[in-house]
Amino acid sequence: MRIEIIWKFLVASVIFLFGVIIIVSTMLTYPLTLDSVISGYYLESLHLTGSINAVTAILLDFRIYDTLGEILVIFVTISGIMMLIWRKNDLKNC
Amino acid sequence: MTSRIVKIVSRELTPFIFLFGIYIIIYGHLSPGGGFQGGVVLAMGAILVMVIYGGEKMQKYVPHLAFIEILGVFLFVLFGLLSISYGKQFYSNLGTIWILNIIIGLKVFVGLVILYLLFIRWEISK
Repeated sequence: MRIEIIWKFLVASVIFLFGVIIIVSTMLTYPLTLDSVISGYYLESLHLTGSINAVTAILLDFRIYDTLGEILVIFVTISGIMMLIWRKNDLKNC
Repeated sequence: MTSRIVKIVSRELTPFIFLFGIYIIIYGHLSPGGGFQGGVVLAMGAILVMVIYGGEKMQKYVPHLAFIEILGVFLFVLFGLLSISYGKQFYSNLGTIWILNIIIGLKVFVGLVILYLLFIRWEISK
């Protein structure tokens, strides 16, 4: 029992360190500073998208793939829960 | 099981919750708010009614709600493909932010209602 807990912590720490290494190496090898690239788009969001609300402009235009991913997350969640909870005859009773 | 006060208050409060949620969705591109937030407000209004009055009668409508959910994903991707037909890149802006907001709001509303209905299903059948 104790060995299993130590083994789980070992695996978790290895995965965590792997993620940290990837993030840090990405940040170190990024050629430009992040502020100079992004801040212009925040100011110009009204002219670029036609939306007065800057949050919506960023969420539904600049970061549209992020929104698509969130929608797919909800969709996959509901599909999985429906698969787990429903029994065989539930669709016939509906 | 629930008292008369709770029933009357929730019954009178629910239309205003729905109105506020629809307002947040439709004005999402002009004022603070958006599809997700408005959808969650709408879902809370529906879940309030189902907590007070019981959600047993809504159980048979889960496939219909799931169909709306699938239709939301389909329409969202379809609006991305629509910009290709105009000769632009995938998901480039055509002035359709408000339509995407409405689609997202409908989808989140239906999704949270489905989650609630599925989670109380085990409690009903017990």
